[in-house]
Amino acid sequence: MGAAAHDGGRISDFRRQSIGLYLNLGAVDGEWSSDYGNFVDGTISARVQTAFDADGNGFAAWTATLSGLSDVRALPYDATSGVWGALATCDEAPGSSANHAGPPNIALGKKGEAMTLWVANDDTSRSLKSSLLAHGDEWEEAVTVTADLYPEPLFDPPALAFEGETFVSAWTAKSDKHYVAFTARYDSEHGEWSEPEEHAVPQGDSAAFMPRLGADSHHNLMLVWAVAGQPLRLAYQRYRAETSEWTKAAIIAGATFSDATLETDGKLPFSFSANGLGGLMFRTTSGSTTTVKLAQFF
Amino acid sequence: MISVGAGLAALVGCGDAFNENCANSRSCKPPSSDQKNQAGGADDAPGSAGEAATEPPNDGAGGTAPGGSGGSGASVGAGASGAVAGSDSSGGSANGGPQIVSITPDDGAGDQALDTTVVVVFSEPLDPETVTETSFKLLDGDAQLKGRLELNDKHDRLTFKPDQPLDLFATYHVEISRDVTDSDGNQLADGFKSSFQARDGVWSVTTLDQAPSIVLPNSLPAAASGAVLATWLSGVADETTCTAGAAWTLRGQTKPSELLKPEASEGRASRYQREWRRMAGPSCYGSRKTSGRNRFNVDHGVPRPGRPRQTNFSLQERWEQPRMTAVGSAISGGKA
Repeated sequence: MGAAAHDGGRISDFRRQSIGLYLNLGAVDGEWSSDYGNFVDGTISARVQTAFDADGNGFAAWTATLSGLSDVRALPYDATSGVWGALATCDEAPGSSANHAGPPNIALGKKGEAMTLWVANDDTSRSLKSSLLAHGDEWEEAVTVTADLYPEPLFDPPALAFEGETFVSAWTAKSDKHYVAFTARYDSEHGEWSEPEEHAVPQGDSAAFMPRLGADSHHNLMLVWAVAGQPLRLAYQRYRAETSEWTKAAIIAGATFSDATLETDGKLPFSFSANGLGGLMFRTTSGSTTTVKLAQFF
Repeated sequence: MISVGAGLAALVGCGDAFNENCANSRSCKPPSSDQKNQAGGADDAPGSAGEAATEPPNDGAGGTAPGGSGGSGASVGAGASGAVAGSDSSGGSANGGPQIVSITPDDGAGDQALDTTVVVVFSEPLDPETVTETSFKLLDGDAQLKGRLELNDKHDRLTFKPDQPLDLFATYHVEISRDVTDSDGNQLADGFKSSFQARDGVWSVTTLDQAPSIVLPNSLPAAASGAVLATWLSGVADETTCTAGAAWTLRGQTKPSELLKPEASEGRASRYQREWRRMAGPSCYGSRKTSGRNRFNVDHGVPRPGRPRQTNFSLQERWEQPRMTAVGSAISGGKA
């Protein structure tokens, strides 16, 4: 499982082999580093996520599984020294491999702090949790984003973005009898999340994936989610920071797909840039032909 | 039309990856006189000229209509502050200084095109030496935009064309200081401020490839310009062979990477193409390669001053049956 992140000055490339992580950094105008950092802690790592701030400091975070138990782990990267720091394990919500915690997402704040977000899952309940990690510190005690809703799916990490002032999370969860996309904002002063806000279109429930969430340099947000149906469709909603309001949610014309997109761990690659441009790849199958498409926002 | 302000005329940028002027030469061509006239024409609605590269087709649902509702040089509105046109029939203010007759986009205007040109009409000719990047500013928050600042031949109409497309859904502020004077040295009565909002984006869906089997990448890397590098793997029905595709996309334009043309002849193929053929040759699914990492450079990217156009592109192959995963990693010359 690979992950690539771009912070404007650096690009990183992380990938998993059967056990352990390869950590590599490449400069924007140069080659990839010739030396890999090979981090091996004896666990099976998956769903590596990375995030970097404007100075190049960052974190890699992933789900680690050992002897049937999984947790969320992170390595901090210090751009000044070029050294990966000490492993920080967030073991607040370990689960069995058969009934495991969902993959984490990670984002960095303006002070270089990392926020991770994951779905905690056990035999009886499921909840969305978060934890903060400052450089040189331990993970803070996990905060429950929501325990009243039932987040799904587990294979896809919940969305997390730093919009310039605070962290914003997005996820799909069952509310009453319907699956709906939700967002919440983190209140760093009080260390808690706002009440979840619903995002829906009349055409159908949120389906298949966790939402995709991006923030631009003006603190505006882009929220994209899949809408149930045959075929599935994509919907989006924009948040304008200047007015603190979400625009009306709408279907993305032409962005329809069969469940072929859902295979191979349900990839729905998404990007959103500082200037507000965005993109999202998906695929659809008709007969014996599969088509890969790109939805561009510009 | 003359360019004013020290150094500003040289700031026409190459930031757009798909700027053909930039693609053909790393030193950008300045706009032709016709282009200048279009950009600064008093009767042009903002965004009406040269939009092809930045304005999307209007096929998105729920999006704002592209092109915006640009003003047409209306008189300065109530929201604008500063030296506005008064009743002085001589064309000057009470203190004898110039006044602003109109500004485009209108103060408070929304849905402006991303290639909007700011046009300010004054009540009398200005001293060109006082129209500089210091006395006229187009601001994104605290950041001043670079661009081409010009006065017309009569010196009473100022135009500013930003080098880069505006950001989606962003608010911009125009500030004109009292340092602007007429030919007699009389200042603007007051500093002037106005603002407008760029339009939001619209969606456009592009088909990249068709095949019996296609694998999506894990990530969709984006450059600072907003260009994204889409990568994918495609295979035949029996999954005995596979190939890969990659495409840079920016503002609705898609450029497939020549690197990934598997039909390139071995003898004439570049080193990169040969590398690609080696990677994507037949029976890749049958291979049991264990260290599936390859990387190479592609001569298809974003220009950087003084260096060949090059994009670092990394393709990872995972040999965990039955699927492979492509990971594209793209960068484009640093921060915008």
